[in-house]
Amino acid sequence: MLLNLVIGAVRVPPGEVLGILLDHAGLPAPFEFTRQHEAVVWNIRVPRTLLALVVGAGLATAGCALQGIFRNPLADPGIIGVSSGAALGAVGVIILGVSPLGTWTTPAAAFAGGLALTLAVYALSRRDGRTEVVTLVLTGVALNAIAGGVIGFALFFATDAQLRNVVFWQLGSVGGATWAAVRPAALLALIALVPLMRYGHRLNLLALGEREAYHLGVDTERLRLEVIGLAALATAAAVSFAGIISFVGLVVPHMLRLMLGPDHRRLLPASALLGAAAIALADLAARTVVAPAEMPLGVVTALAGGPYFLWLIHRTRRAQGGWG
Amino acid sequence: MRLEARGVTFRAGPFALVRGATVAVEPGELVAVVGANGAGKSTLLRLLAGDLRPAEGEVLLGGRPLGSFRAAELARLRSVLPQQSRIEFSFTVRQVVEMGRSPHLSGRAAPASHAAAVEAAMRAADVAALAERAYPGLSGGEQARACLARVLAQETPVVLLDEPTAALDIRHQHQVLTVIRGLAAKGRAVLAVVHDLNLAAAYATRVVAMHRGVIAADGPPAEVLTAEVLSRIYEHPVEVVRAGSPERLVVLPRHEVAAGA
Repeated sequence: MLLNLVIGAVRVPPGEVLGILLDHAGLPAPFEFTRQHEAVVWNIRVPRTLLALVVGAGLATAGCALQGIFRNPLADPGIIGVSSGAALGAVGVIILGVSPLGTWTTPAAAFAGGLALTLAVYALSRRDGRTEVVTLVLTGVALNAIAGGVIGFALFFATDAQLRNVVFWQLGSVGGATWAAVRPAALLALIALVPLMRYGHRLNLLALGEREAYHLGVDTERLRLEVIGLAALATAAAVSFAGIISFVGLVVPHMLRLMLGPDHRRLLPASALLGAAAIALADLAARTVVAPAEMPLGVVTALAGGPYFLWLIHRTRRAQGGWG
Repeated sequence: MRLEARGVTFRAGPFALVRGATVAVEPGELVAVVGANGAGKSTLLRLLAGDLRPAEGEVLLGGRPLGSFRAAELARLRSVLPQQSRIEFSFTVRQVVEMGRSPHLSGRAAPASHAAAVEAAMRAADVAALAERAYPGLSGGEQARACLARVLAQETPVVLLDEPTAALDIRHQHQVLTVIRGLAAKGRAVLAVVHDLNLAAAYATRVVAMHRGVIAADGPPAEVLTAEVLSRIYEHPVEVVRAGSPERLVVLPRHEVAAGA
């Protein structure tokens, strides 16, 4: 994390970074620093790093919770439509060229789109007050496809400049982070993540099976509604400010399950920490690998996450002797 | 605590899987439910467990309609062993059995009493030696016993078991049914779906025979497990003899192929 603050187009020594941070914390700074370095660190790198941490924690914890809810280690936050809904919202306002909220327009539209599509997935899967996991997943697939189609249709009418904007938004980045963006993102993520941590025990019971969890006293329908709602909120907070960042929500909980075992009471907080660290690291790579240019964050996570996922598929298939 | 179904009917689409079934389980009883495939045994068990809501009739637990209980409340009163449990994540057997204590965790019981209940349940289901093994890696019979241990750890006055012996070898079949009969002897109300009629004859205090969604017979094993009743509900000729030492009921289905042929 300190590296995130030190390294960049302008190199600021670690001592100076520490001095700047202490100074802003209202403490006496033992290190000298220049005004220019202070501006770079405090106004650009600190918010950027914080946004990376928030986004990583949000996506990974949401992924972990959803894998628990779907009783499937291969679920990811996209499965309930948050990501494609957010993309739909963002692309919509970019193509229409409207900005009633100024710089807030894209995040706000993405956030609303993400939550709206998740609600639609949930509402369409419900029958007689019950939702089955299979129906939920299939409805998610259907609505994701429809959202993708609508986005494609909209892009057909887009200008080159708009296309460029859309592509870069979809690839994901925390580069545009400002204090103004970090505050709401962090607040929304906290609102979702703090309560999510309390669902570990119930998610463990759900792992035994839907009926078994009910026999052990879990109101499974309510559990599903609450966890999906909170996970959608965490994911929407992340993607609306940083765009689509793939694979973190899938891969981070999975790595942790291999390291810590299947207990969700430990997996949820660990996912938040490792997710935050993973995105901060990925952002560091995004900024430095092709310096002075920047790679989109989604590219880094996909290029690192994709091969890992492949390996995971093969390992799972070997271990189970097939999917049957 | 008494569990009873009064005239329950359950439909899946146009088919009535259970029709007008009335049955009660009293404390101290081990009721075996027998019948052909598709006779409605598991559906009846799921209605009694509260998994399914009857279209007609009602299920009462301790005289109170099942629908008026919260899930957490119900979990302290009745436990359920489903036919098979697939667990995707690799919890150990001990972790699975500990989850059986979950309904009691909000109570005032000391941590030591939970640990003791878990150990006792694992010993009773003969999975203590498997405690640290991962559940998904166990054989079918071992998984079934681990799930039984989880149900035993729940320590409820009403226990519902769907084919607790289906995947087990002879030794474990008898070991498990002895444990289950012991629950009844301690005053629990136990109902189990049992496929093996000889096991039902040996261990049940009462047998309920189902045929095409309807309860065809209900009474002591010697009255229900007769050639006449069994031939009718299985739609296949069945003989019942007394044999062995000590003498006991033995059910012999008729077959076309001569012995040793």
